[in-house]
Amino acid sequence: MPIIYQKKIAVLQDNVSIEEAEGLLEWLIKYPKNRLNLANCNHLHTANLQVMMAVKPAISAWPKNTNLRAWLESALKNT
Amino acid sequence: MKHILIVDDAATVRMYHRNILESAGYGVEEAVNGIEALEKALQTTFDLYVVDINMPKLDGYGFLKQMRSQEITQTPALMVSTEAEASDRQRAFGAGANLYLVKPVKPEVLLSYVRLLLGEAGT
Amino acid sequence: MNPLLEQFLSEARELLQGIAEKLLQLEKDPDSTLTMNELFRLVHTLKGNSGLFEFYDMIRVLHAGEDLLDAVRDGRLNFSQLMADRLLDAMDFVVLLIDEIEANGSIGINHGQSSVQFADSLRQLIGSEGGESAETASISEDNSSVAVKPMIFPGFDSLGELPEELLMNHYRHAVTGGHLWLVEYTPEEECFYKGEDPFFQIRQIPEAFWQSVQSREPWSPLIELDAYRCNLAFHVLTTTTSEELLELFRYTPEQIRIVKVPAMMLVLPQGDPNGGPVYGDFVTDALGLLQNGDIPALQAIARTMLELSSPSLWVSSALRWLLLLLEIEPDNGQAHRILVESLRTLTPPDWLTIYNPDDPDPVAEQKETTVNNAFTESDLLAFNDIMHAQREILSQPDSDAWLQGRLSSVAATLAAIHKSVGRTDVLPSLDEALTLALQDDKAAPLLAWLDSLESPLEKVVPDVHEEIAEIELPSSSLEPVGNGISETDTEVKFGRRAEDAYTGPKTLKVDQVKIDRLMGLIGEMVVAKNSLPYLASRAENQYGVREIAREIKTQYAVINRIAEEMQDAIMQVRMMPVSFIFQRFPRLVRDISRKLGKDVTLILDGEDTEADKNIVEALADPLIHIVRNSLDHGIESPEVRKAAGKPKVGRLTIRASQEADRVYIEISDDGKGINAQEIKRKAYEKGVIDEATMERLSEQDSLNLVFAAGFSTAEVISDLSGRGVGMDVVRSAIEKVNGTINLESEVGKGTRIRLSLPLSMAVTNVMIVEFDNQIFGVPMDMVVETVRVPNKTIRTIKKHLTTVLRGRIVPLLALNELLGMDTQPRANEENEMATLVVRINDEHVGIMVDDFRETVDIILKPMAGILGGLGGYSGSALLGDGSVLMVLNPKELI
Repeated sequence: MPIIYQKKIAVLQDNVSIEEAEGLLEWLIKYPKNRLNLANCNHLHTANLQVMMAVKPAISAWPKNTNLRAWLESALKNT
Repeated sequence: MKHILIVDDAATVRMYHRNILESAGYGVEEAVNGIEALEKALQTTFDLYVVDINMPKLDGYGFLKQMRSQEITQTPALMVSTEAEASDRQRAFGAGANLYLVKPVKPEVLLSYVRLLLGEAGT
Repeated sequence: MNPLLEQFLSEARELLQGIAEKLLQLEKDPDSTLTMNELFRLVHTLKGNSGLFEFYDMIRVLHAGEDLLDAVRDGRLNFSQLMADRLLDAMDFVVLLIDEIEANGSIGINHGQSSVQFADSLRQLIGSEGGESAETASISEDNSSVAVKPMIFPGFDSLGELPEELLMNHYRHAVTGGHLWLVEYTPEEECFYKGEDPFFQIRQIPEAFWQSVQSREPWSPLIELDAYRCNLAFHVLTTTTSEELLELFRYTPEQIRIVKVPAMMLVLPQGDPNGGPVYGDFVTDALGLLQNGDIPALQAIARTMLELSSPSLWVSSALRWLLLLLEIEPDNGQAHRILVESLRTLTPPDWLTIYNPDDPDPVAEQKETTVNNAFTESDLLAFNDIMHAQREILSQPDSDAWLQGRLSSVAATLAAIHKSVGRTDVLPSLDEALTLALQDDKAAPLLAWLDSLESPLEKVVPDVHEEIAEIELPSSSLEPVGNGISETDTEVKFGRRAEDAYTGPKTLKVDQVKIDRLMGLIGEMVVAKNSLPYLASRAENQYGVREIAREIKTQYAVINRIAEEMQDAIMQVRMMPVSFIFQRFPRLVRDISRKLGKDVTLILDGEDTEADKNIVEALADPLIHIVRNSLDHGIESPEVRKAAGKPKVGRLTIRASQEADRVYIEISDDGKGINAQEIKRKAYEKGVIDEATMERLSEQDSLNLVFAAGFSTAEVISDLSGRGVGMDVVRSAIEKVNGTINLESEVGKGTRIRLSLPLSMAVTNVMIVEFDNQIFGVPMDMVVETVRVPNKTIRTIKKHLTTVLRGRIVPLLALNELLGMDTQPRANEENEMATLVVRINDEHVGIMVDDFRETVDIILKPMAGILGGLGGYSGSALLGDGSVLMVLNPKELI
């Protein structure tokens, strides 16, 4: 499922594939204040995960999937 | 000053280890294979040996066996190699190594081990 | 460039050269274990070196190569042509990377794909040919590689954020015989290219209750961030079985570590850190009760304490843990004490620093804490690791001959590390244990000594190891291949080494630039020296002081001798063996002949022959050209050869030798040879020669037509029964360095090309000629004679001036025609023309000039800059009087 880039928020849904990582990185570099909505995300490819870890963007909605949320919280919280 | 003998056929690895050890203030000598290492061990007393496994003429196992059997020295020997298989580790221990590390060893990690084996850490 | 990287590059090139050689040797002799071992070692060494720099694209390919060769070494695979091809290709790729590192200091980002492809092409061979056995072998190896290493918990703090209840459950579970594993998963950097998704993989671990993901290296600036290079390391705590974990990571076992975690690690009080001072008394009481082993009383005061405290406080949590510990592990007094201590200091119990629980002496304990403080975490892990290693060593069979040495070294090691941490008190008992062990030839006393130390840290690690050992599949033991030591080799090595052990290296690597500078200086020296005879003659003729003139001449003789010797010494430095270019031929011949479907044996001889670096380097391209021709047009296909009654395998010989001051290179094949008649006919058809010449040409002269410019165009050649592609280019390249080329051929038998080259091109003897008030040099080795030709004997034949010299018609050319100048050469008073007869391709040609002068030794410098494009000159030189001499190249002129 591709990422839907809205004005200030990118919506990550279902399973975000590896192909999205480059675009996500560019988007986050370009708009450092924009946020991510992960509410309906179930999994994202490692490449996306590390982009998020490197950039540490603000999260507008954490995943409903508790396991993914636990991972992301630990990944994005500590420095 | 403590003296350490680096035994490795790869010049690059020797230089890498030498840089680390010398920067920590140790005296370093090099040997390019087991035979040369034995020669040096017979001539000089070293405080530690850092030994590669795979070398021409006489490999690391052979070198250590010779050292231990000829009672040339009971100085601790640290074996460094790229093999991470348990069989290599066991073989290294069987031959007379006291520690088995997998290359490349990070400088601070190598120094931790070296200091301990030289009886120096914490002082 | 940093010296280590420089060292790496130069060693890498040597190793790659060696690898190529060994591969070719193996093709000839696939069963040579010695060669195979050597090859393996070279690849292995190169891989290890690359590891120091994290050149992943390189490591991947080399690792695959190493695994492949390992399979061959073990007999799981047979060496094959295909394997050689792929390995050679892969090594070419590595050479490319090396070049790039040399140029830019790093590997470009665009090689990942190719790297994976090369690695895959090698790994395929392991998979496909090895079949069942190879697979099982690799799995068993893989399992054993789940190595036990000291525990590191990155992001461990966050474990304390888990709900206390959860931690307590897992603690209970772990203490009562359940599993508690820490899985550390470090995916390969390039794993994405293999279609892996490590995050997905790690999320599949069942019963995971704590997770952490960290970057391995600090993140690079976002602009440079490579999203497709995995920089993550994952950690998970799970209570699942180890079988399950190994199954899950069966494809990447080398990337995970599974470590058994002591349940104590979960004992992490949490909550509001603000606590009242009331606990002081409690701690004192509790420690007293612990001392007396009065667990029930301790439980009672802990409960009371807990009731008095707000449940959300950190201290309350610690108390709850204490109660749990007292209930589940009533005998673990050490842990109880640490928890109580932790209540006093209000800091989390640091289980890692439990050091010597059995030492009741508070002073010693105090000392120990300070020691531990000076200890970094990595020291502590190292200590554990070393302890564990000694235990492993002692668990080895006691049978070998060097057991005593081994035991002593273990004792020495244990003594050293205990000294390191300030535990000199245990050394006497270690000594006793060693004495006992040596007496009985057994490791047991030392093992017992280790057991007597009773440190929980030590216990933990071996436990883990045993656990791992249990799940290890029967490992197909890789029979070690001993490195053969040849007796003589050893002796020689010993002898030599003993002599020069402390004298340092005997060879120096010197930058080419420095040698060139020396060359330039000696050149100037020779020139400066040459001014002395001028000076002498001026002293005599102009000032009339004969004495001084003579003295100058004597001095000149001395300086001259020294200068010559110096020059010779520098020449020696510049000499290099022709093997420098020969070494690429095995590969070249192999590749071309395979492509052409021909079987060829290459014989190299005289590789040690030396010549000046410039000569050797200038030889490379012409030689390759000749060899290529030989394979293309000389040596026939196996069928044709068979039909002609020749051995199926063609033979190509390249032989170098030295005679006097010339180096000879001979390239011969036993191919079909060159048909002189056909060459002649084709040359005529192409208009290279006229009909008359065609009739007149001898067999040998016809053969030489292949060197004629204009003859060797591709279309002429492609259907020719000989060779000739670009042979004129070859000839001119050889002649540029004052060499000659000579070709002999016999139809059906083969062809032989002989190159003759000067040993050194540095000093040239030239004759100076005068023309139009200028002077020019002509290399002496081309000059046949100098004659004065009476004008009346000069005839014009077909518009060309000629004369007859010693019964031979010699064409005459005026230097001005050759140089495009207007002035005609002048005749002398007797109306004779000064004519320099030079030899060009065995033809004599007279060049008319104004007059001859002396001959001189000069250091020829190639024309540089704009002059470099000027044809007809081989270079320039400085003369003793400071003037510049242009040296002609008659071959190009005519």
